[in-house]
This record gives sequence, structure tokens and C-alpha cells, in this order.
Amino acid sequence: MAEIVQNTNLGTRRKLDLLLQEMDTICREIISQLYNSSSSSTNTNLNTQTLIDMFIERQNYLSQQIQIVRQQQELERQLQIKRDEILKCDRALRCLQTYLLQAVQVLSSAVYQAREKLSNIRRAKTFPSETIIRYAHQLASCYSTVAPDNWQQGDIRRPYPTNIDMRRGLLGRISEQISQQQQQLSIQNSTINTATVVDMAVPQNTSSSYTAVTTAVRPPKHDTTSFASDIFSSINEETNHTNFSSSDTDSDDDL
Amino acid sequence: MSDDLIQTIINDDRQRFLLDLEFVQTLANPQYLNFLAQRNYFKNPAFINYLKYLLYFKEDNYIKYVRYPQALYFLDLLQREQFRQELVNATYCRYIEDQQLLAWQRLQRRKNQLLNNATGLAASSSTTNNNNNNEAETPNTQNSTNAISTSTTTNNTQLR
Repeated sequence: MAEIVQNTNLGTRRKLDLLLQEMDTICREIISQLYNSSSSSTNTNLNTQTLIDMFIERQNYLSQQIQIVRQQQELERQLQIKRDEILKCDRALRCLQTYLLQAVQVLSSAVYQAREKLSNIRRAKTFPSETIIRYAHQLASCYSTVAPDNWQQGDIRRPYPTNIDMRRGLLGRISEQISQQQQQLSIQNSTINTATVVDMAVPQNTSSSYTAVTTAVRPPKHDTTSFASDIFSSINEETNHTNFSSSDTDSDDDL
Repeated sequence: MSDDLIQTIINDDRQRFLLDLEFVQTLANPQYLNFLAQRNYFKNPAFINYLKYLLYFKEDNYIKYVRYPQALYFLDLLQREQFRQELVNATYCRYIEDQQLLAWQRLQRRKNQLLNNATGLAASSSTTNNNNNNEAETPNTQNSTNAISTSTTTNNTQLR
């Protein structure tokens, strides 16, 4: 029995089972011998004494094993606590891993865009910052690239020059004068075709490209040409002034 | 009278430049492009040569006078025959105009978002305030740098 108890390969449960079985058989043997004690005398006494010694020995082993069981229960409790802690840490690690992956994605896209920006900067021509800011201010002031904050549907402002702006300019002035001239000629002599007047005007231009330019603007639909041309000429002077004011100031810059 | 005016304009370099500048900026107007296409101006080889000549506005010295940089994008497109043929179609020009307006408004929304982010983060801490002010400034300077160097690529990203 000692070998069984000291055998480390057997589990505690198995050892307890074996001990209890042996104790059970010994008890039965003792009881049967006591029951049959009347038939034989000395043999049975020795055997009974041996059996009782054996029973006591196994009872001691049993108590030892129960001590061992208590120790092992304590160890199992500790193990369970550790397993729970491991689970918690595992969950935390998974959360951190997802955060890390998100951060990696965000950073990789940010790094890529930063690299693109840097390559743009390297490729770009450098200008003094004052020039850039002045140009940006010019673009922003006429809302050519970014809409005004209070723009709604039905607002006539546009990111390109509108009809009104075009009529105010040099092209509009030229076309107004042409149409005035045509009206005067048609009033003077109603038989002359307006097309021939335009055709006669063509060869006097030094470059044929300007023919297309001067007749490209639509003739105005209103009749108050004299009143309008005064306004347009005054506004044209303003646009001339604003168009060339930047050149006057820019010529002072060291570009 | 108008001939004298035209002669004075042609002889005066400043007036000629002003005329070119005005015309090249009007090319940003898709309705005007439709007008030109419908009156067969794009079939005139002299006019096409003039459009090619107007490409000088993309150089550094001249681009700073252009107030409507989208015009240069359209000028590039106008060098292509297929685009000139498509411009006769009024629905196509309306589509271009719609896309222009939508891009125009989209940039305004993005600008407001950037400004809101900058002001929102400014309330949190001073260091992040400085960083975000730098971030809010650099896109503007970047955009204007791109506008001066390659305004067409800026317009490409705008109109896409």
C-alpha cells in the first residue's frame, strides 16, 4: 500500500478510491472473521489483529491523503483566480490591439498624404509669401474658387465672370460701340445690309483673330445705350485701375 | 469709330493685354463657351490659334492677373477638338455649370469645417491650438501655392 500512496503517477482521487476499497474489503474480512470466530480460534485472532493493523495503517494513509486533497483544493482556487486574471488581461490586450490597428491605419494615411504634400512642395515653384497671400486675397475677394458664406440659390454671383461683368469690360465696350455704329448706319441708310458693314470692317483689322474677339460678345438687349455706355466706361476705368493696381504694386516686388 | 477704338487697342500693348486678360477669364463661363460654340467660333482656325496663344497666361508672370483660375482649366480643355465639339450641346454646358457650382460650394463647406475644427480644438489646450492653427493655415497657403504654380491641377481636384 505504501508504494501506491507514494506513487506520483496516480492521482489523489485514484489513491483515495484504492484506499477506500481496501479498507472496505478489510472491514468485510474483519466482520466475517468475527462472525465466524466460533469455528477457528488462534488463526483468526492473528488474522484479525493483522487486519486491524492494516486497517489502521490505511486509515492513516487516508487522513494523509485528505490533507493532500485540502492542499490541492487551495491550489486549484489559486489557479482559477489566475485564469480569471489572464482572461481579463486578454480582453484588454485585444482592445489595445484594435486601437493599435486603427491608429496604424490613420497614421499610414496621414503619412502618405504628408509625403504627397512634401513632394508637391518640392515640385512647386517658390514665391515670396507676401505674393502668395496677396494673390490668395485677390482670389478670395471675388469668390472665384470658394463660394461666399451667405450664398443661396438664386444669388447671381458665380465663380466665373457673368454677363454683367463681361458687358462692363473692354469687350463689352467695343461691342456696344459696334452696335451703336450699326444702328446709326441703319438709320442713315436702311438699304445697307449690316452684314456688309461688318464685312467692310473686317479687313481693317491687323489680325484676323481680333475679328472673332470683337464680335464675340452678345449685343445688349436694352435701348438706353448712351446712359449705359457712360456707366460702363466709368466702371471700366475702375476695372482698369484694379487690374493694373496689382501690377503697379507687384512690380516693386523682387520676384 | 469702333475701328479707331480697335486700332488704338491693338497699338497699345497695355490695352491688348487687358483685352486678352478679359477674354481668357470669360472662358470660365460655360454659358459663354456654349454661345461661342453655337456661333461656330470654334471652327475658325484663327480662333483656335488664338486660344493656343492665350496659353501664355499659365506662366508665372501672367497668372497673377487671373482672378478666375478655373478659366485656365477650361483653356486647357479647349485645346482639345472633342471638347470644342461637345460644347455645342447646351445640356453639356449646363452640366458643367452645375458641377462648377457644386465644387464651389463644396470648397466653402470644407473651409468652414476646417475653421470650426480649428476653433473647437483651440478651446481644449494651447499646444493643440498652435498645432491646429498651423494646420488651418498651411492648407490655405498650399492651395494658393498650387494656384500660382499649377492652377490647373488645383482646378482638376476642385472639379473632380
